[in-house]
Amino acid sequence: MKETKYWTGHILAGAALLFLLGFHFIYTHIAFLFGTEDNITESLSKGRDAQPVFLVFFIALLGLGLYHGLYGLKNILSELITCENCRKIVAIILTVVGILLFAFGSYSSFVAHKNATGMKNTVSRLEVNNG
Amino acid sequence: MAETKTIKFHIRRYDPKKDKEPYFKTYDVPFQPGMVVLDALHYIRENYDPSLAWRYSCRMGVCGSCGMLINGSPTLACNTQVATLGGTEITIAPLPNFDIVKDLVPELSKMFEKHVAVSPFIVRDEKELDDEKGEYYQTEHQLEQYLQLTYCIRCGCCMAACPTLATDPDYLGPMPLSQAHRYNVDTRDGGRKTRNEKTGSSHGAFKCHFAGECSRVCPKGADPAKAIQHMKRQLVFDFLHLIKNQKPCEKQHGPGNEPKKDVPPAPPYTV
Amino acid sequence: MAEFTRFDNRLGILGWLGKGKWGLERYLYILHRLTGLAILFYFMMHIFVTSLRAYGIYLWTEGNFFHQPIFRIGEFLVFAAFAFHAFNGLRLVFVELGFAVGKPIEPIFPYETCISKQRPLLVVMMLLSAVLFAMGGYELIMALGR
Repeated sequence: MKETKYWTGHILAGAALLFLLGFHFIYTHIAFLFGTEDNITESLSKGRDAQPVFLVFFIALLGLGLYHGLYGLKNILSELITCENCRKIVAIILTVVGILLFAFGSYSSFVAHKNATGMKNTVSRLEVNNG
Repeated sequence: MAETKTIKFHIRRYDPKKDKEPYFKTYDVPFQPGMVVLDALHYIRENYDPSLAWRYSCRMGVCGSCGMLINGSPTLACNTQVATLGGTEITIAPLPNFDIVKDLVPELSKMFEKHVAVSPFIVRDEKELDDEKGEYYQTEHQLEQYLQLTYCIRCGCCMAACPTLATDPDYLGPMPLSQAHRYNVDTRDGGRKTRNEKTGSSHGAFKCHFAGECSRVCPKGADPAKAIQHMKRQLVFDFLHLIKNQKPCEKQHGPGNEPKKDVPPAPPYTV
Repeated sequence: MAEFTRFDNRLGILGWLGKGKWGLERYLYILHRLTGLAILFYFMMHIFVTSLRAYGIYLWTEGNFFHQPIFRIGEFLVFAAFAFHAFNGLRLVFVELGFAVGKPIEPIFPYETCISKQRPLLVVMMLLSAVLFAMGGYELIMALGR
């Protein structure tokens, strides 16, 4: 029944990704729908990093995307590899890769969030001092 | 007199005692109206090569012995009219995804081992068997849940068409999975949770990705792909505790057939 | 009993393709795998590249390396893969949970299978995927024009 648990997670993560990635594409690429131009600028990216809601969003996207993608890859590889031990080794390698990428990605998001909020605070402090 | 049409049959031959690899050999067979592929194989054996081997029994699509790859599609030789195949050349090979025993004879034992592994029988308390006057009643709706799957003749065509089995020999496959589902949805059965251990494992139902080939080639319309998708829902719902573990239905007694009271226990076994 | 050798007749990875003789769902299943692998590859690169922003490196934004037209076209291909994978995946969620394949019926010749039952859903999903694809294409043309 372990596989049932993993597969249910895979399907639920897939369904959630449809909405999360849809939103991600809307604010990065399909912005023309809302009359705005190219959204891929450094200042807009920093603006997003400064908002806690985007931090949660990035980490959710990262975790769900990695789980859905790497489970899919494990499924494909386990159908191509016929030796049971090799299948287990592949599953362990993919889990480790997933955890490392998740740790790296979420750490970077935290740092970027901290930098962006720090900068925003500095700007607002400067504004107060100048004002 | 009109000239008889001749059909070229390209047949994949393999003799484990002589050949390292299978090879194709061509035979000319005169066409007759109403001829099925099985007739053509008989013609070849009687007129060209008595060593040609294939498996068959009933000649009418009931026993499931003569499954083979005809023009690239797994189907029954007794059920396939030569006229409907069209053209003057027909290619016949053994069912893929099974080992070849000889010529067109596939080794089906691995499929049957997987079939046995999913407990393809009604699992319940054996004591009820002693109550010979009781009967299991099912409504038409309850019968319909599994009726389609009882039409399966275990010919192995679905296993030959399955893309997952093309690379993964450990996958249970459409026939065993759909037969497990046949008993899972039977109201007399109480073995679903036990079967879930096997069908919900890493070689079970989740290796089906709905390419749909099994249902497309099934010569009896048993639709194994549908059963596997329904099975997946049951597995997921069981995991999420959304289905109550229903007890199997009990024997019922018509008027005058009530279970006897104060029946002395059966004597102990003497053998 | 004498032991005979058995010839392994498994089709291997070419069996996934079915030598061009199979139904539409088979090809969607292959395409779903290929687009999934492509998206996963891009996603892992994307995690790495965007994570560099923590160190002040913005390679993908306006005026930087990955903002060149060739990468924008590459991104559009990933978007196209997403458009297919997302909607075909949504169809698979419905189908694989047994909601779009019909109820059990008695098989009467000519047999109707679950394949034909889920076809309307397939058509709707592919149309939605085409709409998303067109939106991505429009965005690409706009971006390249700027």
